[in-house]
Amino acid sequence: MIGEGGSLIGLGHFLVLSAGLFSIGVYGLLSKRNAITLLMCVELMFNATNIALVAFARFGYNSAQPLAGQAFALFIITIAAAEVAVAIAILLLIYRLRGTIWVDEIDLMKW
Amino acid sequence: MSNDLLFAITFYVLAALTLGAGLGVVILRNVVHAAVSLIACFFFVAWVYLVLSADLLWVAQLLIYAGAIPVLIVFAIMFTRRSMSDTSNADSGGIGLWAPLVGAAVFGLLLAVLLPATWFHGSWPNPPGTTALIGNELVSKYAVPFELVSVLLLAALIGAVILARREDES
Amino acid sequence: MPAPYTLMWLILLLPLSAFALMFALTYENKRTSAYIGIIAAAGADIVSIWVLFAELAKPQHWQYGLGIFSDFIQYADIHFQLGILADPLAAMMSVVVCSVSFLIQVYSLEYMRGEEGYVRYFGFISLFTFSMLLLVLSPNYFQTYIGWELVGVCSYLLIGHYFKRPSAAAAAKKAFIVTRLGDFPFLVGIGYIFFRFHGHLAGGAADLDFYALKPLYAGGLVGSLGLFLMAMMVFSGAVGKSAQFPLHVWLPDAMEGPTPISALIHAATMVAAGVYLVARTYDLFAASHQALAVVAAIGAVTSLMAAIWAVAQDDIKRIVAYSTLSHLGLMMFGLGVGAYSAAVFHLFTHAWFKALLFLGAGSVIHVLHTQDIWEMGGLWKRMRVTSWTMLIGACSAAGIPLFAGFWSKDGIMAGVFASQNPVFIVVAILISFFSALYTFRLFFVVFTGEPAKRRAFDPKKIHESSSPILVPLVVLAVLALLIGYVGLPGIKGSFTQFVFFGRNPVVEDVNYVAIGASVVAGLLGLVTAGLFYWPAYARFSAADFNRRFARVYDWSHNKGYFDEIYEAMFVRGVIVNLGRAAQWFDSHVIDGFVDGVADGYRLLGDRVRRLQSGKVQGYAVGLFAALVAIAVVALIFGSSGPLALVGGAAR
Repeated sequence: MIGEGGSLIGLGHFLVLSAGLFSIGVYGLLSKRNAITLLMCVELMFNATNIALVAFARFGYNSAQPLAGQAFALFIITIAAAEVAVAIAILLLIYRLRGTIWVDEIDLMKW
Repeated sequence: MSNDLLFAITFYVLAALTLGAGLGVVILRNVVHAAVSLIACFFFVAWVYLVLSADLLWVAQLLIYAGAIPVLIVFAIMFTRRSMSDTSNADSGGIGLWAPLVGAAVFGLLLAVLLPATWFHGSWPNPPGTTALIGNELVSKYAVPFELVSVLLLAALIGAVILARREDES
Repeated sequence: MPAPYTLMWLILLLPLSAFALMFALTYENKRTSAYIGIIAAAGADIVSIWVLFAELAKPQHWQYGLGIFSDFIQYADIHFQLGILADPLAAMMSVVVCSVSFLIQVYSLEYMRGEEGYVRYFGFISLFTFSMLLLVLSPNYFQTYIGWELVGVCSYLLIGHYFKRPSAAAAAKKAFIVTRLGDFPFLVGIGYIFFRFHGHLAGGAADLDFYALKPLYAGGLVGSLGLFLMAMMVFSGAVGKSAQFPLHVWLPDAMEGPTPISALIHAATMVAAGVYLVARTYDLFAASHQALAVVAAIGAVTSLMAAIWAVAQDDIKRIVAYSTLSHLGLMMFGLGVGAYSAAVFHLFTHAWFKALLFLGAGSVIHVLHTQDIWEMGGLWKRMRVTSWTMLIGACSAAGIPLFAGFWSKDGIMAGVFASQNPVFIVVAILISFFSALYTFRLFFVVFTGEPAKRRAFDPKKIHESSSPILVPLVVLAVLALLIGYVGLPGIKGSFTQFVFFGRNPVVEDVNYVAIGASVVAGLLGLVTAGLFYWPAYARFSAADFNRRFARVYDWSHNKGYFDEIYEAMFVRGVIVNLGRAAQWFDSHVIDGFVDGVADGYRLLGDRVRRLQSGKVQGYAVGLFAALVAIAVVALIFGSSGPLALVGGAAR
């Protein structure tokens, strides 16, 4: 069963799922105050993107580059892992220096 | 029950679970709860990959996103315990007021692009397992990006260590 | 094109490269620099003389562009050219310029010895020579104006040679600003001529070309008022440069420069440019009788006033300077009454005897270290060469028969008499009388009688100047004695048949009435001067006369109070207030504008920088809002919409 799709579900369905997840990520990114939550929202957006890429790869199976989408997704996962590691290191540093990770209180870089 | 219908049900259930878990991340006030919701979301995304016949990604997603990254995040939450709870600044006015509006606008925009288009919609081909194929491509066609990513990982590793290290440690 | 004409670019190049060489390479080496200047002038002189003889053999009116400069400015149908014009007038004048420049540089070898700025002096003389030649050989108004302004700058630099002396700096400034008053209308006039005749020139001619414009002035394109205005605007340039009334005030002050510079300015370069310009553009003046009348009137007024003022001056250089004013006025007078050839001939002869008078005065000053004629006297026995040459110069300047000045001056007199205007005739006779009077007053006071007693100066020390000073004097004296014979009236092949206006030379009958009146007036002036100022024959006391007619004397001595009037009217009344207004305008409007712009940006910056809130989510909102906005625009307008402008495409 796995991998054998039907005529009821198409690429569009997966893309709408991706769009929804992405928009949730955007909303969270703009509304939350805790920097770690923001990081999570960014990860949500990464995953939304990956869903779209993998879906493209699946439905473009007969194309010249059938695995490009999956390869992209794989690289994105890797880079996201690296990004999380660095971001968390930065957050810890900020927390140590300023005692907070609420982004609206971290506003030294202004006029 | 036909294969098609079963597949459709699977997709809708997975989609609902994924989106629900994603909403949990942004709605829950407690950061730990949000993190648990995030893990759930990643987990469901892994199954979406499986539905899309991406077996290697399924495993990678489970290992990295559902496994490793949440660990990091939970550690981070622990280290920053004083900021455990989160209130969206929508409550306190300011820029947060724009968040739902902009989020909705982005979603609307994506739908406006996606819905009118005619996407592939019919019987799927049946691809073989992709693990071996991707493995081959990674060391042949994508060899350079692959190596670059390895360097990036190393740089991130060193950078993270240097950043997070306490000053008084020699 | 035959040989001398193809080499004419050398006439321009030699002085210019001498100037460049002196300032670039040999600035430290005084003698070498001086010799470079002298050799360059000599080379240019040789080519000029060659060209002059070629022109004498057969006038060609050659004209050609100067290599890459022949298309100096070419845009659409506008074409400005730098070139060379070889016709009798230009050939004659270039010989004058080069020769005088050469002689003056030889003279300066000794005269300027030990002076500060020795090389600067020679360098600027070379530049001055080049500028004047650029003007003289110019085939069009455009190049003429370039030379015109260069001459002005050079005169400023050389009059202000002793710029550490406040009076010299002031005189240089005055010369520059006063001539500028004439130059500006001249420039406007050139523009006027350009716009009215542009496009009507005969095929292939560059814009503003003198020869191409010749038939156009009277060709009906411009009405009589327009022609009059054109002529007046061009003439105002000449009035400024040739120091005609009412812009004559700068010339006497220009005596602050070294004496050889005065000779150069007065004989060949600066002031000759004005007369030369009127002669060069005479077609324009000939097309407007009113313009000619104005030229004649201005010339007559200048000439007579300067002659009267010269009688009451005490400074030897100023007397000669007023003599120049008078003679220039006479030339303008001659041009105005239609005696074209005679006026140009007077420009030619005047160059030699005026250079002679100045260099002679310089010789005296060099020995006595004073310029006051009452501190001189009795030099006849001690400075033989200087005295003799000065006597020849004085005779020539006063128009004593058989000397150079006589022949040219009487041509002008004949023209004035031919105009049959009684006022002009009376004025001309008075000019003759006064010019003889002031010239010989100078001569008698300085050279006859006994040396005046001065403190800390032993008259026995007076001795003749050395040879670099005397050689140019002798050369010029010979020319002042003999050069007039190239223009004997009524002789075939004489000057008047060489440089003339119109299609054919006018062979005038010798006007014995005019010559007689002029000669009698001149001799009367000489005798008057002798009776007052030659100690051996003095019958009247000048001091008594001056006391009795104190009012006249004061008016004359103070140059008609023109400096004072200008000072009161323009400098104090207009210029100072104008300066204040400009200062107010500058500090309030200009600075206000600049400050306003700065303040505006600071205010704007104060507002705009608030956007940099430091709140990272604020930036994210902007980012996504902009993304949505751009995408919406792309969706609505497609790829041909506003995004195409920034290279974006929607689908």
